[in-house]
Amino acid sequence: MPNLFVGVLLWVLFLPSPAFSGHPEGQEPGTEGAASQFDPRDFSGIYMRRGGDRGLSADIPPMTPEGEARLDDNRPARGIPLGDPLNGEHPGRARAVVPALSNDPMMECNPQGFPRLLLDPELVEFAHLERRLLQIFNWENRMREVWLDGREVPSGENLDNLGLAWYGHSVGEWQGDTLVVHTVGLDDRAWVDIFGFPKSSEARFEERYRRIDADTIELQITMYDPKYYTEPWVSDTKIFERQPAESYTFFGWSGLFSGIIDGICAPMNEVDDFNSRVRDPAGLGAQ
Amino acid sequence: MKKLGTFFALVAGMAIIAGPLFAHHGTGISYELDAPLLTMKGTVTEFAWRNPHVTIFLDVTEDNGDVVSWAFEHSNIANLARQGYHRNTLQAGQEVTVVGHPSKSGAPVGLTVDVILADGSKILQRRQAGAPPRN
Repeated sequence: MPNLFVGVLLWVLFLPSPAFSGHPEGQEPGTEGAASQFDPRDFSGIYMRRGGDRGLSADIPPMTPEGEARLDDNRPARGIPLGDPLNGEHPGRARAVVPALSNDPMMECNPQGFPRLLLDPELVEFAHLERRLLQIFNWENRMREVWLDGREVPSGENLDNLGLAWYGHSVGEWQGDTLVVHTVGLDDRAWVDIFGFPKSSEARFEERYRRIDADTIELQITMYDPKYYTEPWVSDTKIFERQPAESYTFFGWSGLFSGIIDGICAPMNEVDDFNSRVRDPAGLGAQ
Repeated sequence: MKKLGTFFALVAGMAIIAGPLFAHHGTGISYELDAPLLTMKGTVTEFAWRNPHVTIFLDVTEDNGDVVSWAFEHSNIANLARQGYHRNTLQAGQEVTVVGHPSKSGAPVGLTVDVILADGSKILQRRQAGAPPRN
Protein backbone atom coordinates (compact mmCIF):
# COMPACT_ATOMS: atom_id res chain seq x y z
CA MET A 1 0.00 0.00 0.00
CA PRO A 2 2.81 2.53 0.76
CA ASN A 3 4.20 1.76 -2.69
CA LEU A 4 0.85 2.63 -4.22
CA PHE A 5 0.81 5.94 -2.33
CA VAL A 6 4.32 6.82 -3.50
CA GLY A 7 3.39 5.88 -7.04
CA VAL A 8 0.33 8.12 -7.05
CA LEU A 9 2.34 10.98 -5.52
CA LEU A 10 5.05 10.70 -8.18
CA TRP A 11 2.43 10.56 -10.91
CA VAL A 12 0.79 13.76 -9.63
CA LEU A 13 4.15 15.52 -9.28
CA PHE A 14 5.53 14.67 -12.68
CA LEU A 15 2.47 14.58 -14.92
CA PRO A 16 2.58 18.29 -15.89
CA SER A 17 6.27 18.17 -16.76
CA PRO A 18 6.99 18.24 -20.48
CA ALA A 19 9.80 15.80 -19.90
CA PHE A 20 7.22 13.21 -18.89
CA SER A 21 4.51 14.11 -21.34
CA GLY A 22 5.69 11.99 -24.27
CA HIS A 23 5.75 8.23 -24.32
CA PRO A 24 8.93 6.87 -22.78
CA GLU A 25 10.58 4.44 -25.14
CA GLY A 26 8.85 1.10 -24.89
CA GLN A 27 5.62 2.47 -23.47
CA GLU A 28 2.59 1.79 -25.57
CA PRO A 29 0.74 4.90 -26.74
CA GLY A 30 -2.78 5.31 -25.52
CA THR A 31 -2.20 3.73 -22.13
CA GLU A 32 -2.59 7.07 -20.36
CA GLY A 33 -6.33 7.22 -20.98
CA ALA A 34 -8.51 9.43 -23.10
CA ALA A 35 -7.49 12.61 -21.31
CA SER A 36 -3.78 11.88 -21.72
CA GLN A 37 -1.45 14.81 -21.41
CA PHE A 38 1.07 15.64 -24.08
CA ASP A 39 3.47 18.44 -24.83
CA PRO A 40 2.49 19.85 -28.24
CA ARG A 41 6.11 20.93 -28.76
CA ASP A 42 7.56 17.49 -28.14
CA PHE A 43 7.51 15.32 -31.28
CA SER A 44 9.83 12.64 -29.88
CA GLY A 45 8.97 9.18 -31.10
CA ILE A 46 8.79 6.87 -34.08
CA TYR A 47 6.03 7.53 -36.59
CA MET A 48 4.55 6.14 -39.77
CA ARG A 49 2.75 8.30 -42.28
CA ARG A 50 -0.82 7.09 -42.77
CA GLY A 51 -3.38 7.64 -45.51
CA GLY A 52 -3.17 9.26 -48.90
CA ASP A 53 -0.69 8.34 -51.56
CA ARG A 54 2.95 9.23 -52.02
CA GLY A 55 2.28 12.50 -53.79
CA LEU A 56 2.40 16.03 -52.42
CA SER A 57 -1.26 16.28 -53.41
CA ALA A 58 -3.46 15.46 -56.39
CA ASP A 59 -4.32 19.14 -56.78
CA ILE A 60 -1.36 20.20 -58.86
CA PRO A 61 -0.94 23.86 -59.81
CA PRO A 62 -0.39 24.94 -63.42
CA MET A 63 3.18 24.53 -64.59
CA THR A 64 5.41 26.85 -66.55
CA PRO A 65 6.66 25.70 -69.98
CA GLU A 66 10.04 25.01 -68.38
CA GLY A 67 8.38 22.98 -65.64
CA GLU A 68 6.34 20.99 -68.15
CA ALA A 69 9.45 20.20 -70.17
CA ARG A 70 11.17 18.96 -67.05
CA LEU A 71 8.12 16.87 -66.14
CA ASP A 72 8.25 15.25 -69.58
CA ASP A 73 11.88 14.33 -69.00
CA ASN A 74 11.01 12.39 -65.84
CA ARG A 75 9.74 8.85 -66.47
CA PRO A 76 8.24 7.42 -63.26
CA ALA A 77 7.40 3.79 -62.51
CA ARG A 78 4.55 4.67 -60.17
CA GLY A 79 1.07 5.98 -60.73
CA ILE A 80 -1.44 5.14 -63.43
CA PRO A 81 0.29 3.28 -66.29
CA LEU A 82 1.04 5.44 -69.29
CA GLY A 83 -1.84 5.22 -71.76
CA ASP A 84 -4.44 4.06 -69.24
CA PRO A 85 -7.59 6.15 -68.61
CA LEU A 86 -6.96 9.10 -66.32
CA ASN A 87 -10.09 8.54 -64.21
CA GLY A 88 -9.99 12.16 -63.15
CA GLU A 89 -6.32 12.18 -62.22
CA HIS A 90 -3.88 14.85 -63.34
CA PRO A 91 -2.09 13.62 -66.50
CA GLY A 92 1.20 14.00 -64.68
CA ARG A 93 0.19 11.20 -62.35
CA ALA A 94 -0.63 8.81 -65.21
CA ARG A 95 2.77 8.27 -66.81
CA ALA A 96 4.05 5.07 -65.19
CA VAL A 97 6.31 2.79 -67.21
CA VAL A 98 7.95 -0.48 -66.23
CA PRO A 99 10.89 0.13 -63.89
CA ALA A 100 13.42 -0.96 -66.49
CA LEU A 101 12.37 2.00 -68.65
CA SER A 102 12.06 4.49 -65.81
CA ASN A 103 14.66 7.13 -65.00
CA ASP A 104 13.47 7.52 -61.43
CA PRO A 105 16.62 8.30 -59.41
CA MET A 106 15.36 5.86 -56.81
CA MET A 107 15.64 2.98 -59.29
CA GLU A 108 19.40 3.19 -58.91
CA CYS A 109 19.01 3.72 -55.17
CA ASN A 110 19.97 7.37 -55.32
CA PRO A 111 18.64 9.57 -52.51
CA GLN A 112 14.94 10.28 -52.69
CA GLY A 113 15.57 13.80 -51.43
CA PHE A 114 13.17 16.21 -49.82
CA PRO A 115 10.18 16.17 -49.69
CA ARG A 116 9.85 12.78 -51.37
CA LEU A 117 11.34 10.75 -48.53
CA LEU A 118 9.00 12.45 -46.07
CA LEU A 119 6.04 11.33 -48.21
CA ASP A 120 7.05 7.67 -47.99
CA PRO A 121 4.94 5.52 -45.70
CA GLU A 122 7.99 4.27 -43.85
CA LEU A 123 9.14 4.69 -40.28
CA VAL A 124 10.61 8.04 -39.30
CA GLU A 125 11.88 9.02 -35.88
CA PHE A 126 11.64 12.57 -34.56
CA ALA A 127 14.37 13.35 -32.05
CA HIS A 128 14.88 16.66 -30.25
CA LEU A 129 18.38 17.89 -29.52
CA GLU A 130 19.25 21.12 -27.76
CA ARG A 131 19.20 23.26 -30.89
CA ARG A 132 17.90 20.94 -33.56
CA LEU A 133 15.09 18.60 -34.46
CA LEU A 134 16.26 15.48 -36.22
CA GLN A 135 14.19 13.36 -38.56
CA ILE A 136 15.72 9.93 -38.91
CA PHE A 137 14.26 7.99 -41.81
CA ASN A 138 14.14 4.21 -41.99
CA TRP A 139 14.66 4.15 -45.74
CA GLU A 140 18.18 5.30 -46.61
CA ASN A 141 18.82 5.38 -42.83
CA ARG A 142 18.81 9.10 -43.50
CA MET A 143 19.11 11.95 -41.02
CA ARG A 144 17.59 15.33 -41.79
CA GLU A 145 18.33 18.19 -39.42
CA VAL A 146 16.16 21.22 -38.74
CA TRP A 147 17.84 24.04 -36.84
CA LEU A 148 15.65 25.51 -34.11
CA ASP A 149 17.97 28.03 -32.47
CA GLY A 150 16.86 31.15 -34.30
CA ARG A 151 19.39 31.15 -37.10
CA GLU A 152 18.17 32.35 -40.45
CA VAL A 153 17.50 30.37 -43.59
CA PRO A 154 20.69 30.56 -45.65
CA SER A 155 20.56 32.97 -48.55
CA GLY A 156 22.77 34.91 -50.93
CA GLU A 157 26.47 34.14 -50.73
CA ASN A 158 26.01 31.73 -47.82
CA LEU A 159 23.52 29.63 -49.75
CA ASP A 160 25.70 29.80 -52.84
CA ASN A 161 28.70 28.58 -50.85
CA LEU A 162 26.70 25.82 -49.21
CA GLY A 163 25.43 24.66 -52.57
CA LEU A 164 22.57 22.32 -53.23
CA ALA A 165 21.83 19.29 -51.08
CA TRP A 166 19.52 16.31 -51.50
CA TYR A 167 17.66 17.32 -48.34
CA GLY A 168 18.37 21.05 -48.55
CA HIS A 169 19.03 23.36 -45.62
CA SER A 170 16.29 23.70 -43.05
CA VAL A 171 15.49 25.98 -40.13
CA GLY A 172 12.37 25.97 -38.00
CA GLU A 173 10.54 28.19 -35.57
CA TRP A 174 7.61 27.73 -33.26
CA GLN A 175 4.54 29.77 -34.05
CA GLY A 176 2.37 28.95 -31.07
CA ASP A 177 2.28 25.16 -31.05
CA THR A 178 2.93 24.89 -34.78
CA LEU A 179 6.45 24.14 -35.89
CA VAL A 180 7.13 26.01 -39.13
CA VAL A 181 10.13 24.75 -41.11
CA HIS A 182 11.67 26.54 -44.08
CA THR A 183 13.88 24.63 -46.51
CA VAL A 184 15.99 25.95 -49.39
CA GLY A 185 18.93 24.78 -51.47
CA LEU A 186 17.44 21.53 -52.75
CA ASP A 187 19.15 19.44 -55.38
CA ASP A 188 16.87 19.51 -58.41
CA ARG A 189 17.86 15.99 -59.49
CA ALA A 190 15.54 14.62 -56.81
CA TRP A 191 11.85 14.53 -57.67
CA VAL A 192 9.07 16.05 -55.58
CA ASP A 193 7.29 12.70 -55.40
CA ILE A 194 7.08 9.22 -56.91
CA PHE A 195 5.03 10.56 -59.83
CA GLY A 196 8.03 12.42 -61.17
CA PHE A 197 7.00 16.01 -60.58
CA PRO A 198 10.08 18.20 -60.74
CA LYS A 199 11.35 20.95 -58.52
CA SER A 200 13.94 23.53 -59.48
CA SER A 201 17.01 24.44 -57.47
CA GLU A 202 15.22 27.69 -56.63
CA ALA A 203 12.31 25.92 -54.92
CA ARG A 204 11.65 26.65 -51.28
CA PHE A 205 9.37 24.76 -48.95
CA GLU A 206 7.38 25.56 -45.86
CA GLU A 207 6.30 22.73 -43.56
CA ARG A 208 3.79 23.28 -40.78
CA TYR A 209 3.80 20.54 -38.12
CA ARG A 210 1.23 20.31 -35.36
CA ARG A 211 0.94 17.61 -32.74
CA ILE A 212 -2.80 17.21 -32.35
CA ASP A 213 -2.79 14.45 -29.73
CA ALA A 214 -0.39 12.13 -27.99
CA ASP A 215 -0.07 9.87 -31.04
CA THR A 216 -0.61 12.09 -34.06
CA ILE A 217 1.27 14.81 -35.91
CA GLU A 218 -0.35 16.71 -38.76
CA LEU A 219 1.74 18.25 -41.50
CA GLN A 220 1.02 20.57 -44.38
CA ILE A 221 3.70 21.32 -46.95
CA THR A 222 3.76 24.24 -49.37
CA MET A 223 6.19 24.40 -52.25
CA TYR A 224 7.07 27.76 -53.80
CA ASP A 225 8.79 27.23 -57.13
CA PRO A 226 7.82 29.95 -59.64
CA LYS A 227 10.40 28.66 -62.09
CA TYR A 228 8.36 25.47 -62.63
CA TYR A 229 4.90 26.21 -61.17
CA THR A 230 2.79 29.34 -61.62
CA GLU A 231 1.29 29.06 -58.13
CA PRO A 232 2.38 27.61 -54.79
CA TRP A 233 1.68 23.89 -54.46
CA VAL A 234 -0.09 23.19 -51.18
CA SER A 235 -0.17 19.60 -49.98
CA ASP A 236 -3.10 17.83 -48.46
CA THR A 237 -2.79 17.17 -44.75
CA LYS A 238 -0.25 14.46 -44.02
CA ILE A 239 -0.82 12.36 -40.92
CA PHE A 240 2.04 10.84 -38.95
CA GLU A 241 0.91 8.19 -36.50
CA ARG A 242 3.03 7.24 -33.52
CA GLN A 243 3.94 3.57 -33.65
CA PRO A 244 3.24 1.14 -30.84
CA ALA A 245 6.09 -0.34 -28.91
CA GLU A 246 5.40 -3.77 -30.46
CA SER A 247 6.67 -2.52 -33.79
CA TYR A 248 10.03 -1.62 -32.29
CA THR A 249 11.45 -5.04 -33.03
CA PHE A 250 13.77 -6.63 -35.51
CA PHE A 251 12.57 -10.10 -36.55
CA GLY A 252 10.75 -10.20 -33.20
CA TRP A 253 13.88 -9.41 -31.20
CA SER A 254 14.04 -6.10 -29.38
CA GLY A 255 17.67 -6.11 -28.34
CA LEU A 256 19.89 -3.37 -29.77
CA PHE A 257 17.06 -2.14 -31.93
CA SER A 258 15.57 1.33 -31.62
CA GLY A 259 13.02 0.94 -34.37
CA ILE A 260 14.92 2.45 -37.29
CA ILE A 261 16.64 -0.18 -39.37
CA ASP A 262 19.66 0.06 -41.65
CA GLY A 263 17.40 0.52 -44.69
CA ILE A 264 20.18 1.31 -47.10
CA CYS A 265 19.94 0.27 -50.71
CA ALA A 266 23.57 -0.67 -51.40
CA PRO A 267 26.10 -1.66 -52.56
CA MET A 268 25.55 -0.77 -56.18
CA ASN A 269 26.57 -4.18 -57.52
CA GLU A 270 23.77 -5.79 -55.48
CA VAL A 271 21.29 -3.25 -56.81
CA ASP A 272 22.47 -3.97 -60.35
CA ASP A 273 22.14 -7.69 -59.66
CA PHE A 274 18.53 -7.23 -58.54
CA ASN A 275 17.77 -5.08 -61.56
CA SER A 276 19.30 -7.49 -64.05
CA ARG A 277 17.97 -10.73 -62.55
CA VAL A 278 14.54 -9.65 -61.35
CA ARG A 279 13.38 -6.13 -62.16
CA ASP A 280 14.25 -5.94 -65.84
CA PRO A 281 13.18 -9.48 -66.86
CA ALA A 282 9.84 -8.96 -65.09
CA GLY A 283 9.12 -5.83 -67.10
CA LEU A 284 10.85 -6.50 -70.39
CA GLY A 285 11.50 -10.24 -70.55
CA ALA A 286 14.81 -12.07 -70.82
CA GLN A 287 17.37 -9.89 -72.62
CA MET B 1 3.20 -14.11 -22.43
CA LYS B 2 6.22 -14.05 -24.73
CA LYS B 3 4.18 -15.84 -27.40
CA LEU B 4 1.41 -13.29 -26.97
CA GLY B 5 3.94 -10.49 -27.40
CA THR B 6 5.31 -12.11 -30.51
CA PHE B 7 1.78 -12.49 -31.86
CA PHE B 8 1.05 -8.80 -31.37
CA ALA B 9 4.40 -7.92 -32.89
CA LEU B 10 3.53 -9.93 -35.98
CA VAL B 11 0.06 -8.38 -36.19
CA ALA B 12 1.59 -4.92 -35.91
CA GLY B 13 4.11 -5.87 -38.55
CA MET B 14 1.39 -7.04 -40.90
CA ALA B 15 -0.51 -3.81 -40.37
CA ILE B 16 2.60 -1.83 -41.13
CA ILE B 17 3.48 -3.75 -44.26
CA ALA B 18 0.03 -3.33 -45.81
CA GLY B 19 0.81 0.27 -46.74
CA PRO B 20 4.41 0.49 -47.79
CA LEU B 21 4.59 -2.51 -50.12
CA PHE B 22 6.74 -1.58 -53.03
CA ALA B 23 7.20 1.84 -51.62
CA HIS B 24 10.40 2.46 -53.46
CA HIS B 25 10.94 0.63 -56.66
CA GLY B 26 7.44 0.38 -58.03
CA THR B 27 8.05 -3.03 -59.52
CA GLY B 28 4.37 -3.96 -59.07
CA ILE B 29 3.69 -2.51 -62.51
CA SER B 30 5.75 -5.34 -64.03
CA TYR B 31 3.41 -8.08 -62.79
CA GLU B 32 0.00 -9.42 -63.81
CA LEU B 33 -1.90 -8.75 -60.62
CA ASP B 34 -5.24 -9.86 -62.06
CA ALA B 35 -4.01 -13.10 -63.65
CA PRO B 36 -4.20 -16.53 -61.97
CA LEU B 37 -1.44 -17.02 -59.45
CA LEU B 38 1.62 -19.11 -60.15
CA THR B 39 2.42 -22.05 -57.90
CA MET B 40 6.01 -23.21 -58.21
CA LYS B 41 7.52 -26.05 -56.20
CA GLY B 42 11.26 -26.22 -56.19
CA THR B 43 14.57 -25.91 -54.41
CA VAL B 44 15.80 -22.63 -53.00
CA THR B 45 19.14 -21.74 -54.58
CA GLU B 46 19.48 -18.35 -52.90
CA PHE B 47 17.53 -16.26 -50.41
CA ALA B 48 18.82 -12.82 -51.30
CA TRP B 49 18.25 -10.79 -48.13
CA ARG B 50 18.99 -7.34 -49.46
CA ASN B 51 17.51 -4.06 -50.57
CA PRO B 52 15.81 -2.82 -52.62
CA HIS B 53 13.86 -6.10 -52.60
CA VAL B 54 14.43 -9.41 -50.93
CA THR B 55 14.30 -12.14 -53.57
CA ILE B 56 13.81 -15.91 -53.49
CA PHE B 57 15.67 -17.77 -56.24
CA LEU B 58 14.22 -21.17 -56.93
CA ASP B 59 15.13 -24.05 -59.24
CA VAL B 60 11.99 -25.72 -60.58
CA THR B 61 12.13 -29.06 -62.40
CA GLU B 62 9.58 -29.21 -65.19
CA ASP B 63 7.73 -32.33 -66.31
CA ASN B 64 10.25 -32.95 -69.10
CA GLY B 65 13.13 -32.84 -66.65
CA ASP B 66 14.36 -29.38 -67.56
CA VAL B 67 15.31 -27.16 -64.64
CA VAL B 68 14.14 -23.55 -64.82
CA SER B 69 15.54 -20.94 -62.47
CA TRP B 70 12.83 -18.69 -61.11
CA ALA B 71 13.10 -15.45 -59.15
CA PHE B 72 10.35 -14.33 -56.78
CA GLU B 73 10.47 -10.76 -55.63
CA HIS B 74 9.33 -9.63 -52.18
CA SER B 75 9.36 -6.34 -50.27
CA ASN B 76 12.36 -4.71 -48.63
CA ILE B 77 14.35 -5.86 -45.60
CA ALA B 78 12.72 -3.46 -43.16
CA ASN B 79 9.21 -4.59 -43.99
CA LEU B 80 10.07 -8.27 -43.67
CA ALA B 81 12.10 -7.76 -40.49
CA ARG B 82 9.14 -6.07 -38.85
CA GLN B 83 7.09 -9.19 -39.60
CA GLY B 84 9.67 -11.31 -37.82
CA TYR B 85 11.63 -12.66 -40.79
CA HIS B 86 15.39 -12.56 -41.20
CA ARG B 87 18.27 -13.56 -43.43
CA ASN B 88 18.04 -17.22 -42.36
CA THR B 89 14.29 -17.63 -42.82
CA LEU B 90 15.00 -19.65 -45.97
CA GLN B 91 18.13 -21.65 -46.72
CA ALA B 92 19.66 -22.77 -49.99
CA GLY B 93 18.68 -26.39 -50.65
CA GLN B 94 15.32 -26.08 -48.91
CA GLU B 95 12.27 -27.48 -50.72
CA VAL B 96 9.43 -24.95 -50.82
CA THR B 97 6.42 -23.96 -52.87
CA VAL B 98 6.18 -20.32 -53.85
CA VAL B 99 2.88 -18.75 -54.86
CA GLY B 100 3.06 -15.49 -56.74
CA HIS B 101 1.88 -13.14 -59.44
CA PRO B 102 3.40 -13.83 -62.90
CA SER B 103 5.48 -11.24 -64.69
CA LYS B 104 3.91 -9.35 -67.57
CA SER B 105 6.84 -10.27 -69.79
CA GLY B 106 6.44 -14.01 -69.33
CA ALA B 107 9.97 -14.33 -67.96
CA PRO B 108 10.41 -16.79 -65.06
CA VAL B 109 10.01 -14.03 -62.49
CA GLY B 110 7.17 -13.59 -60.02
CA LEU B 111 5.94 -11.38 -57.25
CA THR B 112 5.67 -13.40 -54.04
CA VAL B 113 2.28 -13.89 -52.42
CA ASP B 114 3.35 -16.54 -49.95
CA VAL B 115 5.77 -19.40 -49.40
CA ILE B 116 4.60 -22.85 -48.34
CA LEU B 117 7.05 -24.99 -46.40
CA ALA B 118 7.29 -28.78 -46.56
CA ASP B 119 5.08 -29.09 -43.46
CA GLY B 120 2.35 -27.03 -45.11
CA SER B 121 2.88 -23.87 -43.09
CA LYS B 122 2.82 -20.55 -44.91
CA ILE B 123 5.42 -17.87 -44.38
CA LEU B 124 6.62 -14.68 -46.04
CA GLN B 125 3.07 -13.80 -46.97
CA ARG B 126 2.35 -10.56 -48.68
CA ARG B 127 -0.42 -9.10 -50.79
CA GLN B 128 -0.02 -6.39 -53.36
CA ALA B 129 -2.32 -3.49 -52.62
CA GLY B 130 -5.25 -3.69 -55.02
CA ALA B 131 -4.57 -7.26 -56.01
CA PRO B 132 -7.39 -9.78 -55.86
CA PRO B 133 -7.44 -12.16 -52.90
CA ARG B 134 -6.08 -15.63 -53.42
CA ASN B 135 -8.45 -18.23 -54.78
